[in-house]
Formats: sequence, structure tokens, C-alpha cells
Amino acid sequence: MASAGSGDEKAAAAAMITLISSDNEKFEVTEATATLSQTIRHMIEDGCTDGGVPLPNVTSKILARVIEYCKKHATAAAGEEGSSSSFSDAAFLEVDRAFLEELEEFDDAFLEVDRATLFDLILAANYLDIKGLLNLTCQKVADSVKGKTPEQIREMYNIVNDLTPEEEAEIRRETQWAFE
Amino acid sequence: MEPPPPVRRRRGADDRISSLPDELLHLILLRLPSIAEAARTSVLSRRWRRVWTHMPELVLPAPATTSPANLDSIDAVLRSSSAPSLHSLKIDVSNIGQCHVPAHRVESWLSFASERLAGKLCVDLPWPSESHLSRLRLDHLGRFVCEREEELALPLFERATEMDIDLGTNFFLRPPPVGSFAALTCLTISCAHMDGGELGRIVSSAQCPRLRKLWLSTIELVAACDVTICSGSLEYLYYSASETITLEVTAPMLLEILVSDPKEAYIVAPKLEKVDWKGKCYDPGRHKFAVAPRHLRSLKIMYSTYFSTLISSTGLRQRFDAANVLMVSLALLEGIEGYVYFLTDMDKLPACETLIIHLFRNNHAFAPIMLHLLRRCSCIRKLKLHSDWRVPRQTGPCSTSGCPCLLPESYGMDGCTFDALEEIEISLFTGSTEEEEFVKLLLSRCNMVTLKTVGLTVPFVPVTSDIMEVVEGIRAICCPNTKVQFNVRSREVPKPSF
Repeated sequence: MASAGSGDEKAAAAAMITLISSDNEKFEVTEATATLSQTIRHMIEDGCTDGGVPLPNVTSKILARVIEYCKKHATAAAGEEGSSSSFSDAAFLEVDRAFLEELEEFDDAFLEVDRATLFDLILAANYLDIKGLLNLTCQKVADSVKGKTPEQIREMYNIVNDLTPEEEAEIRRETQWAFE
Repeated sequence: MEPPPPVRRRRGADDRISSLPDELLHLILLRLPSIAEAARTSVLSRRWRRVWTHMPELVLPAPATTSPANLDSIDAVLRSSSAPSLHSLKIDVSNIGQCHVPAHRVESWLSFASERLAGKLCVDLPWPSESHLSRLRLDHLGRFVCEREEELALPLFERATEMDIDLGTNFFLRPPPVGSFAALTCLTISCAHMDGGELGRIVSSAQCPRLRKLWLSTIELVAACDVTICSGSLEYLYYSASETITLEVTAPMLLEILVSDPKEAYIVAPKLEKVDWKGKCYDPGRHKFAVAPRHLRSLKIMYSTYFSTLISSTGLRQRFDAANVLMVSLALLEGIEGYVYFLTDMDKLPACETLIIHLFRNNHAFAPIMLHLLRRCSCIRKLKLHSDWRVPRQTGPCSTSGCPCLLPESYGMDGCTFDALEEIEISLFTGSTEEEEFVKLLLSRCNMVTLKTVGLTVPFVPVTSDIMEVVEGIRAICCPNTKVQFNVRSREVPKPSF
């Protein structure tokens, strides 16, 4: 029985999904990696992944990055399951902590991208419904805006102020509490 | 010829952020440190003017805010908010000190929420300010009680799914007389004064037909009275309302109950799995589980001589014969009388598979207490032993001369063996001689073929070599069976606060 069980596990681990980017590039990924995306998870559950999953909203450049993120975090998810086992000596906890730190470092490095890529990643994470990646990328934008004046934010993100001075004054009056 | 139209400034070609859909901008705004920062984006451009006002989730005011001026900003945000449906609203002003929030103000927040909220509501009010303390007196339990509380009307929430309201003891909460909280599944009311009749009515099926979790914490009934809860949906109930005379619960779906304080209780709960009787003594004569299984998934009993007051819920064993998990909470202070009574009170325990002992406070010898309980639970498969790190530990033996815990026979095992024991877990193992001897004695009575794991959590990081020596000595006892997994975990524990 035991050997049959591990055989099944091997089969599951080997189950591959093909993702096809908007520019028609194909990416082979494991099911564990792909299912970090709720959108793809639902497609797998509905059995609509034969012949590949076309993702017309995601370019190959962005999809490659998204897959890089999912691969790393899929391993992390597997690691978390492992840590709930009864094995719990000090050495193991050390490994655990080191792994989480490594994951944090990975996320930080992952976000070292230009603004355009960051927004592409937000859109892709939203479309593919990858909660962790959406959190991470939105937090990155929020952190960049945090504590900045409206002028600084406009400059940073090339936002053209199309409000007349009168309109702007009116809005500031309406939301005076926020500017105090 | 007409003059050419004025050149309008177009949105910057690479202004990616403004072209994100509103729902994604909301996700970004939600991650700013405060709602004020989100609101300031309204002057960025025309595109941004109304984005923040449609945020589906509001956390007010900024976390950790302490200024009473922020109350005005709450009103301003709610006036500006134009999201037709909020899925979460949190108003936490519990940190605003020295400021009384009047009822009409809270009512305006609640009235906004009752119209817009289709999700989770959380309202947390501050405790009374000093100027209001003059209206307080101490009651017989040493708690502050307001002489006359302001009334606070709770509106009807037809779409709220979860509500968590902490009134900071300021108000007499008046629920709506009619209408249904049709979507509500979880309700928490804390630190409020309520009328017992109104309390029972609002949480029963007629007004809360979907309620599954009910948490009533530190409720003070405005007059001593009976409370009747009749719910076809309730699964979890925590009940702590002082001045309750008789608590009557009829809940066919109820799985877990935690009760504190009623003088009498009559509980009909045929599916009950978990019982935790807190507060004063459980008395089988006055607290009746009329319809309930005799075998539970989890039962918690406690025995405490804290504050020189005896609190015991061991009477529950008369009603429940067995539990998969039995939790015994103990607080044994100095004194022979309390210890002797512990011995008789815990003379018989319900049968269990897992025994969890929480030692909150102990001024007696350690091993005799453990052995007293263990001798009564020789069929257990799992043993977990927790001590509280917040209080100083008794390191030496009992200081009261003549205490029975000091007698040699208290260390006996009465020929008891633990043939079914598979798992032993001891948190806060300090390596004292007492603990060491207890663990060695216990292991000498275990079946080394059955025993699978022994876990010790040491409250020091890193583990000192002295403790490791003790641990190695204990591990040596397990040697006949090398399959016993021996885990030592270390955890940094804060120093005792007193």
C-alpha cells in the first residue's frame, strides 16, 4: 500500500500544466505552482486545461515573473505543511526560520522592478487571482505613496493634475480633516 | 474661422497608476497607514477625486490614534463615503483616552453602518474617562459600575454578517424591538449594560435566525433577571453576564458552550461536544444540562484557591462521564485546607484519552499534584502539561509545614502504569529537580513500546548545558526503545511581570 501511495504522489507531483502567454509562448509548470492562481485552479477543477491554458492578458515577460513567484511560494506552502508534523526539535525550528527569512528576501528582490513591470504584475495577479502576489505588489505601491505630498505622488507616477485651482481648493475644503 | 480649441492637458501617457481599475486602486489605498492618506489622494487629479470615497472597506480612525479630534474625522469619512455596500467597517476609538464619546455620536456611526454594511462590523469604544469616573462606584466584586448609563440604541442590521461591539462599559445597549438580523452569523457584545429580556430576545432565532457564534463578554444586566436563549442555529456560545439569575438555553445545534456566572442554568443541547464552565463553582443541583450527551469531545474543569476564594467546576464530572480531551486548570495557593480539598474534589475524574493540565499557579510540591491527577487517568494516550510563565514558579517544595503534599506517600504511584500513553508534552520544562524526578518517575511507568514521543519545551534561548544534561538523563530512560522520538524545543519566554 505504501509504495502505491508514494507512486500516486509522484504522479501528482509530475502533473504538468502548460500556460500560454499573449505572445504565444508556452510555459510548463507543475500543478502545485499553477494552482497558486485561483483562476487556474478553477480551470483545472473544471477539467479545461488540456491543450494548455491561454492567458491572453499576460505577456511572456510578465508570465515568466509570475511563474517565478509561484514556484518559490509553492515550495513555501509545501514547507508549511511539513512543519505541522510532530517533528519539532530546535534544529528544525532554525531551518524553518531561515526558510521564512529567505522567502522574505526573495519577495524583496522580486519587487525590484521598474514601475511599468510592477503595474503589469498587479494586473496579472488580479487576473490570475493570486492573492499573495496581489498583496505584495499593491503593498509596494502603497509604500511608495506613503507619507508623500500630492505633488510628490503626481511626479512619481506621472499623474497630470487636470483640476482647476478652484476645484482643488474645493476638494481640500471638503476633506480638510485629512490635510490637518 | 473659429480659433483652435484650447490644448487640454491629457493624462500623462505613462500614467499607469491612474489607469488601474478602481477596485485595484482601492486595494492600494487600503494599504496606506490611514484613511486620511487615502483621502488626500482626492486632489491628485479629476480621476482620483472620488476613488477613495468608494472604498469597500473602512478602518477608522488611523490605527494607534489617540486624539479626540479624530472623532470628527470619523464623521467626515462617513459623510464622504459613497460606497453603496461596504464589506467591512471598523471604528476603533478604544485608545482615545480622556474623552467621553456620547451616545448620539455612536448612534450616527451605527445608523450609517446599518444602511451600508453588508459584511463585518467592528466598533470598539474607550473605557470611561476620568471625568466620568465620578459616576462610577465599585461593586461587590471590585469592578467599576456606572450609576446611570446612557442609553444607546442599536439599529437593525439586515445585511451584516459579523458584528463585534465593545462598548467600554459606557452604555445601556438597547436592541431594536422588532426586525431580523437576517444575515448575521457571528455576534460579539462586550462591556455593555443590557436588559436580560432584551438580551435573550435579540440573540434568539426570531431576531437572529442564522446566528452560529455568540460571544457575550462582561455584560452587566441592568437588573437581576433570567435570560432565555432559544436558537435553532447557534453552535458556539460564550456567556458571561453578571446578575443573571437563571440562564436557559435551548439550542439543538449547539456544539460548544463556555459559561460564566449564572446562579442557575438549564441547558438543552443534545449535540453538545465541548463544555467549559468558567467563573464561580459549578453546582450540579443548580446548573442543569437537561438534554446533553454524557460523553463529550472536550471538557474543561477547574479548581482554584486564588484570592482565598474556592472556585471549582469539578462537579461537571457528575454530569459527564467521559471526554476525548479533558482539560484540568489548577491554581493552588498556599494553605493546607485548599490543598486537602483539592485532593478530595479531584478524587474522581471523567475518563479521557487526552489529559491536558494547565497549572496557572502553584505553591505546593509539583509532583504530588501531577501524580494525584495521573493516578486517576491511567488509560490516557496523550498527556500535555502547561504551566503559566506569567507568574513566579514555586521552585522548592511547599513552604507550609505539615502540608500533605510534603508526605512521602504523595509521591507514590499506587502500582499505576500508563500502558496506553503514546505522547507526553511538557511546556516550560525548567529542569528543576522536582520536574526531573517527576518526568523520570512517569517514564518508568510507561510502556516503552507504546510510547512514541516525548516533547519538552525549555523556556530559555539558547538552552543551557545544565538543562541539556537533565534532558539527556531523562532521554536515557527511554533508551530501551530507540523509537521514542525525543523533542526538545526552546522558546523565549518573557520575564514574570511581578
